[in-house]
Amino acid sequence: MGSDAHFDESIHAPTRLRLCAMLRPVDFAEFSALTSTLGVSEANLSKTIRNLVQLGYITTSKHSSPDRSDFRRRTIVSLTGRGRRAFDQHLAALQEIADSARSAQTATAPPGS
Amino acid sequence: MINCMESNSIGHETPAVAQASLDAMMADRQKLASRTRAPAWYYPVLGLVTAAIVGSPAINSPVWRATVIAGACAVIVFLEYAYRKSTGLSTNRIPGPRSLLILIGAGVLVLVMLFVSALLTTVGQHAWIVVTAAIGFLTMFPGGLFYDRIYGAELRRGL
Repeated sequence: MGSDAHFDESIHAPTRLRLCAMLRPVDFAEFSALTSTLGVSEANLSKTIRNLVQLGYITTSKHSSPDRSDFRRRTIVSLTGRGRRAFDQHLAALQEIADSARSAQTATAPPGS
Repeated sequence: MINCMESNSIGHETPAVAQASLDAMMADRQKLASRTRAPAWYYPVLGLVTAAIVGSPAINSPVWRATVIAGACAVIVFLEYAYRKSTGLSTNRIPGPRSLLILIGAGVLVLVMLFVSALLTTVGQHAWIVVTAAIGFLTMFPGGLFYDRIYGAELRRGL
């Protein structure tokens, strides 16, 4: 992804990280699509989104839906430019950490093994 | 290198935990790739709309030609709406070079066919416009299905 690795503690919690990973390749996703794809509760996802909005990593908007009779509105969630950068850098950091283990294993392996 | 005001904070982050996080994200990408697949009727309808646009130069009446093009554009807007409604996603970001190449190739092919249709109309060879319209249709169906497959594969690989 071409970004410098930078471990970002604020998005490292599993649900936060998975949410960012889900939003990274799309323009936006509906709240309901996120709960079903991530397999998390609405309450858990709402809290995660609220925290990431406060960090400036995610934006939300509400849209009315003609096919809902109860006048509830659909929530649209998308990653901000800042959120995309933070996620790319955090992902690169995770990959470096994971790769470091593989490199260490290769270095310590006896010759000819 | 890892930027490291936070390097202490990754002291507790073992390679195994980092790998588990990466694996969880990859598993989510698989689910996302399945979700982005368009409904079965999507590409046949898009193919018909494209054929109508490519074949529109054959319509003599400017009013009818404009009506067909406007109708086709309205159907494209509806298709985008229906796709978002069925998937809950907007996927205008291209996940990799192969899907980008297919998208550009399809766009160029449709434009070339539209130009050829206009040329055929000018020289009075209206019958051949059936061929250009058919190529327009095939570009979207089954061409669109091929695009979906590559798009999904690049999305799955895309971390």
